[in-house]
Amino acid sequence: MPDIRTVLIANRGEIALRIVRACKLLGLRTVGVYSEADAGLAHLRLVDHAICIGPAAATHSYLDGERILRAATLTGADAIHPGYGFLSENPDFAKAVERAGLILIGPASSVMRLMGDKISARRAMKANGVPCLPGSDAALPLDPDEIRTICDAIGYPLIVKAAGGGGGRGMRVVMKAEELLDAVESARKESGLAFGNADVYVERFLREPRHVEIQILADAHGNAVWLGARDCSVQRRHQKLIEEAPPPGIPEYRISDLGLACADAAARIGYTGAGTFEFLYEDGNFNFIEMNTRLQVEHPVTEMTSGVDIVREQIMIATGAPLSFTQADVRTNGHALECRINAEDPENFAPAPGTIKKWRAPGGPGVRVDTHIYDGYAIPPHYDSLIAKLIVHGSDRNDAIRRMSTALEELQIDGVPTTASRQVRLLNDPDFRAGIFTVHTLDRRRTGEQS
Amino acid sequence: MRQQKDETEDPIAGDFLESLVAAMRRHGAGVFEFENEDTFLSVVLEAESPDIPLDTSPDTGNAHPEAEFDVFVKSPELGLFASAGKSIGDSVMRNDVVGFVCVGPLRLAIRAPTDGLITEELVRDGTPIGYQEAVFRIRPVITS
Repeated sequence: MPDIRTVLIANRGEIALRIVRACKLLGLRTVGVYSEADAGLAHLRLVDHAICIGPAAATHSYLDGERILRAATLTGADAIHPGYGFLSENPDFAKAVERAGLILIGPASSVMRLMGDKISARRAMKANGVPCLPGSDAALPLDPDEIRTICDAIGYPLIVKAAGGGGGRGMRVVMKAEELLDAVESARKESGLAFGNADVYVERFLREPRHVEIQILADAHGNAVWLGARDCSVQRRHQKLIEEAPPPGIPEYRISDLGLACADAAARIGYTGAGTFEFLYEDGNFNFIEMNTRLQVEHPVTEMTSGVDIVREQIMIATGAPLSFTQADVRTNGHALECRINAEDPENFAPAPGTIKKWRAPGGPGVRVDTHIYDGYAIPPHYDSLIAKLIVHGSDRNDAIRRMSTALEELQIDGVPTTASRQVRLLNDPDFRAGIFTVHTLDRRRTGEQS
Repeated sequence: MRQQKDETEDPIAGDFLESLVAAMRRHGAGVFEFENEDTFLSVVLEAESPDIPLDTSPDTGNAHPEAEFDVFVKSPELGLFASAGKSIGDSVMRNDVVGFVCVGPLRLAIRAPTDGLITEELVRDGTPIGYQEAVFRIRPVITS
């Protein structure tokens, strides 16, 4: 069994603080790394050793695997928690960690590589009984006639996607056959630049899907469980704004069947740690889109409904410990919501870094705030604009919405604009209340407002 | 510059303060305090730039008396600190090698940013140092 004594947290912001808390719970030493722009991060006061790894630019600090590994060696860390973003889903980094004789708190690099390539992930999921959209089972060939044959068989509209990436880059929606070849060409170019991999594939395009995802945990002994489902349909430009669990209006047995299929697939591919299977849900069907082989920003939503400390379990799994519970022990209790509070203009979502002059956290039963901000904290312009996650738990969806509305009202952040006022409005939106928000709703409304 | 003074306004106060600040800068004084029965005056100068030494008399080469003018020698890289034998009280010249940072097989020189006296060793030989982490404190010495 691998022995973990010191965990290096290769991340920043609220998630770094979240990981420090879990490590302390387990009695582990912690190392915090930071860039020159980040000396004021809240978690650095709590770690056993804080070390500056490089300049503000993430490519020379949080995205520089060599520097992270160097920091781990210098500080005697034996495990690295990558958090989310940055290097968390980089199989080359995971491999380098393994080669250095250290433990990455996450899946093996080979599994990360399998699921990181969207084509191989799709193939693996299909082979393991996870529902997928009709689409190409390999990278599109170069020959235009072959591309047309494949795509005509799938049917239009369809979406061209990058094999090596996500987040909307390298994606093109093709409404009719005449647009196909241009879309494939430009998607290839963008994918090559963004991910260093120009392979693209196609899937049937869904017009009004919801985003539903399944949280799983799997240990190194072949045990895997699913902890719950989340609905993350309230998004703008592929960035989530509100997440909730369980997804409203979907029968429990459908979610349960899907969850079991995901846990089973995770065990079969030799997955270890925390992971998320993402689906598009439309017309009563779930369609696998990708797996996130890391902790998700929105993991607290599932922690609130399941009572499981996902970060703690992740670390325990990395030590080689078997899961301390079985699927039969897992329950979904009540309803949870999360609002991502970003330092952004609430209308156009433009990032708005600045200094927090004063802030007050909401409280009361069922309210949780995960944040790294404090009075006087200067938000650097170099990174993501997420400054806090406000999470609530209620007896049912209406109760959770009421608690969130009160918490947002109570939340005070002076010095920078935030998305909170927009989220107050969203909670009262009839479509949100009805649980029919799709991943396109917000963007479509914005486009409508502008046109 | 911060200043605290009593309520009494004096028409010569502006000129007086200007002369006082100039004199303080000339002599490298960071703080001036004056007190009598009903008056307390305190003038604290903020360093204009940590890297720019204050003026000093042309022939003395004295160290500045106030630590707030000290400059820090920083490591150019993340690595392991290796001593170059420098310690408190040693005088250094600008660009002198005051230590090394070992990055794998590389040994990079850490150089003094200014002439001065080492007043504090912040890192022990053989310990990890971060990117731009201070390894020595130096009190600048002005010579001309």
